[in-house]
Amino acid sequence: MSDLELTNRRLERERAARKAAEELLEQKSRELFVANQQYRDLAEQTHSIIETAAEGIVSYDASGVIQGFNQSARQIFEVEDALGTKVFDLFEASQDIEATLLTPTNEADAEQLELNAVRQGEAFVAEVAVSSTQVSGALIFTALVRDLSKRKVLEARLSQAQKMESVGQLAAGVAHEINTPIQFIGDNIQFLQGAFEDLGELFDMFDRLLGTLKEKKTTDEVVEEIEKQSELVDLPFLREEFPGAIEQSLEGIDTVASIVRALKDFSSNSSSTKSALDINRSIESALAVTANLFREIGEVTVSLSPDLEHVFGFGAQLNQVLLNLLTNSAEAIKSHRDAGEGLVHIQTRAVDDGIELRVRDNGPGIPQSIMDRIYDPFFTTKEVGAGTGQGLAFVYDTIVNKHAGTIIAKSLEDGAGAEFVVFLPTMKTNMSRQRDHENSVC
Amino acid sequence: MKGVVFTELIEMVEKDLGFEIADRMITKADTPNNGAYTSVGTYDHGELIQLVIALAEETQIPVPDLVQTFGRHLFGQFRAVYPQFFEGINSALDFLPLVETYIHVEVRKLYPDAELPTFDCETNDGVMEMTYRSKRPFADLAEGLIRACVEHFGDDIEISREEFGEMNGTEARFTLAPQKVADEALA
Repeated sequence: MSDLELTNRRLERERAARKAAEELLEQKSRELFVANQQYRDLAEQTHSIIETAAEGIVSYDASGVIQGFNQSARQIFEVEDALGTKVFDLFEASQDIEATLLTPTNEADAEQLELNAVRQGEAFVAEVAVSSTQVSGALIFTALVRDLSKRKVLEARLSQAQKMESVGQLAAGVAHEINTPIQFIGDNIQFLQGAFEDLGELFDMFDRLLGTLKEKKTTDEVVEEIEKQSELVDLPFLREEFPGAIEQSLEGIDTVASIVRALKDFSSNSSSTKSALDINRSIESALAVTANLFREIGEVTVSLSPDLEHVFGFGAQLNQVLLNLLTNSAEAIKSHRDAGEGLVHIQTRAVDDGIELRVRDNGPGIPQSIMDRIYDPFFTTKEVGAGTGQGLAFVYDTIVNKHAGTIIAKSLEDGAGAEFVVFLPTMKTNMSRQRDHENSVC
Repeated sequence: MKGVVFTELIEMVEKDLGFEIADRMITKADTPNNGAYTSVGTYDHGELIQLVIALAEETQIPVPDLVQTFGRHLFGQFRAVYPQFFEGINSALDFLPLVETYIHVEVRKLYPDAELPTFDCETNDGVMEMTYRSKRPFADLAEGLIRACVEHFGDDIEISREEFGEMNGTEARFTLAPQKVADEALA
């Protein structure tokens, strides 16, 4: 084959290859155009989703400089444009705010954080979830922010409503508790009033006797009248009955006063500061206001350790916890046992670093299938309208979140009932934890 | 298989053996496009085998030798086009593990549908085992590339090859023992 022929053949192959390459190039150009279009659509869609998301979405780099700030974030923080500023400035300054916002929440083993955010210089509570990802080799953090201000207000209202509901439920029982002593106090006072009217005449006779003696006249007639009147009013009987009637009345007044005091404890507004609390005393108060609730249900036994240390907490909230646990037991028993067969046992004891409270009842127990949900807000096994589902949610929130304690619910074997075991750290433990934390920060 | 492999084979034959041999190889292989390959296209790897077999028949050189030679040629082209992959690397033992962990990663970014072979590297006591696995029987091509790489870095390394699996060139284990290590083992 000649060189020319070879060159022509080679040229023909090159032409064909070039044509194939051009077709391929055109096809790739079309594909690239379509891919670009899709990419733009996707970018636009993603931008719209982020921009219109109900939650604030703030993205920032490893030094905290904000790179993305969606519409909800602008509304939540009331900031028109936060791009280029530091994310830390959106929250109240604290020692660990930087570390918190630069640690993905899943790594910190917490799904959401409640942080104090800042809006127009005012603090508000925000729920924040932080995640991180690598974009073009750089670490980018994304914080999902939800404004909890309204929810906190609603929760507070709901909590107050729930408390009032409990108090309302107890009102009838409390009225009965007060009515009984009031009844016998009234009877005693009526008795004393009647007796005093009779004694009044006798006192008048004594006055006359005194006058007669002063005038040095004969007293026989007056003495005879006094003897007759003494016989009529049955003076020995009155001498015997008066102290008892007075003592019983004073006891009744004491009972009424203690019930009123306990009720006041439960219905008073929550104090915003913690104080030293005697849990045994709180239990006694709770039992005083629930006495009537349990009268028809059965028996309440207590075994309270006398050497419990004080816990440091919100008194009204912990009282409410006790009330909720007791009403929870009472209602469980009511649904499961005949009147008089219920049994509730309350026990306290000192344990390492704290106190332990156990409330055990012989109700139906807690089915395993709902064990994980009993502390969920609005979860209730009662019929619609019969329960708010806030009782145990409040208990959990108060014990675990507000007092760094624990609560474990157990179903007793063979459907023998349920037991709630509560641990609360003592004042000493709280102070020691605080010192440890301060030392670790230093 | 990416078209650049085909165009490089034809270029190598044209350069080393002449246009006539290349033309006869293409004619004899009788591929669907009559040898009109473009580097940006994608073709059936069977066509490459057809071309190599045709070349072997034309030159009376065994297919494995031709494929290994082609591997060496490809390495040279690769080095010329992508010098950045070689920056800061002074030994084949440092470079070869990057084939899987770096180079193939980059290739997949450009060609997501590329069906690449795998090269698993394991080093024990200074001796590296590089295991080649592919859907295609190109262990010879891999050997050519590896040998060219060792020569490029001027390493004194003894290379041995062991076939396994279906024994059809789709799986092979290459052992790269630096002479220093081999001497120490013998001593």
